[in-house]
Amino acid sequence: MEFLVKDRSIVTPGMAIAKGPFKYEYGVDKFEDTIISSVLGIVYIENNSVRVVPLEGKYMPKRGDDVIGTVVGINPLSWDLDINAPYLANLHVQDALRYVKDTSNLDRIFKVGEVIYANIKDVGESSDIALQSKERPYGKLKWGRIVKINATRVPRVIGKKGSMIKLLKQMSKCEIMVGQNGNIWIKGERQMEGIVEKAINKIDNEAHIPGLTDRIKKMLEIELSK
Amino acid sequence: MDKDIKFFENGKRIDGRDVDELRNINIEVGVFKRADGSSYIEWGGNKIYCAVYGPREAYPRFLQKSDRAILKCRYNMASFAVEDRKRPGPSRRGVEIGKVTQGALEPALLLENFPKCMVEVNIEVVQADAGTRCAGIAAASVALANAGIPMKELVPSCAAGKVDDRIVLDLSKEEDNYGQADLPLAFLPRKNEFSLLQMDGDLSEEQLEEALELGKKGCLEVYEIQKEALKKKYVREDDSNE
Repeated sequence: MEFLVKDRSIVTPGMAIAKGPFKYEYGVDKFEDTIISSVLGIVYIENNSVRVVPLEGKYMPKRGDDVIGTVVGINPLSWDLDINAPYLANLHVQDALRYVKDTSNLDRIFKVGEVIYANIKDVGESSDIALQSKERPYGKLKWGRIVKINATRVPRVIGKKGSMIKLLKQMSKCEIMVGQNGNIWIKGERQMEGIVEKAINKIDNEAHIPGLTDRIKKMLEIELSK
Repeated sequence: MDKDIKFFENGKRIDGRDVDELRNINIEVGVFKRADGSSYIEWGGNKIYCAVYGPREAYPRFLQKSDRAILKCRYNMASFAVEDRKRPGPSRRGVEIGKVTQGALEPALLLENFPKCMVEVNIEVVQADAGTRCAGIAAASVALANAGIPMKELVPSCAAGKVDDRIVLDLSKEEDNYGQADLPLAFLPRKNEFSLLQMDGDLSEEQLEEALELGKKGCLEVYEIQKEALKKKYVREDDSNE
């Protein structure tokens, strides 16, 4: 394979990345024998595969992802959750509760507007999303606040081997849960919550600039010494 | 149509351009916070905002396609955008331009990734100065890329025309109003196809060929500007922080 761009450079849609045999990865498309980018993103070249990580875009649900969603609707046997994807997600009663409850009135269990940490059980052929929140870490999130960021920036909030999230947790003593869909839940002292929210928004805005962890650390130190 | 205007002086046009020269084009990316993707274009005297929403669930429901997303385009001109006051609200012309914009953009997008969804494109003309549909398409394409919607390529667009029996690129207001023909084009560079081709006025077969060739060249110039605009957004932020 012959590469036409440098590793980790910014590519725009339609830009030729490489020539040669084609292996499908996200963010790339084929035109004759050329591999072209289909999104605005950063290109990663590894051995014989090309991948473009988008800089912008909506969350596309994948099986096995942990997400944070808000209840927006109640059906006879399920809830509709908004998880920032193009489609609403569905949480069935059977997959929602750890122990048997009276399910005659679902409104008594999760109300509209409540926030739920759930796992994507399946994404169907026609893009209908099934969730489950049966096991331990999943379930209703009480108190705290939700910060929404772009889903493409979630890996930066977590950092390499969790370095960023560890830093945030250690310095603020807050409980933080990150959904793959870009919803982040923070619970702690009210002032601390505010500081973490600010830091996360900073990550969202500056995700593509190197040296992010150091900058966030500096910012947190300044904020905490106030 | 005819008015006594001298279109050429010493081989230059009214505004001092060459026959095959575009007006100044400046594109900004990501100007709106609420939209998923947005752009602002200044093309000569044209000032156009574009906002893209989606992919999100298609509404009304009966428009949903089970195998792909639908593209909805809206073109609107502000009442203060032209010399005389334009009556606000949807018009015959606005609906038509919305329709041709959709036709120009759709072949470049990978809409089959989002079944049952819709992508909305809103083009808002704040100041008009000939060639708004082309500027609108160029801006919309950049806004779609900014929204992270997968596509085969960006869609550049520009107009060619005939003034004083000569083929010129990117008509200005006077040339558009008192010239002989206007030919708005949108071009798919990779496929080497036109996705928009309209004509106002008349051209002979040879003149049409010549205008298409010139328009293609102009489109490729616009394409470079679009790519630069998208990259600039991220690179500039890079510099300011170091």
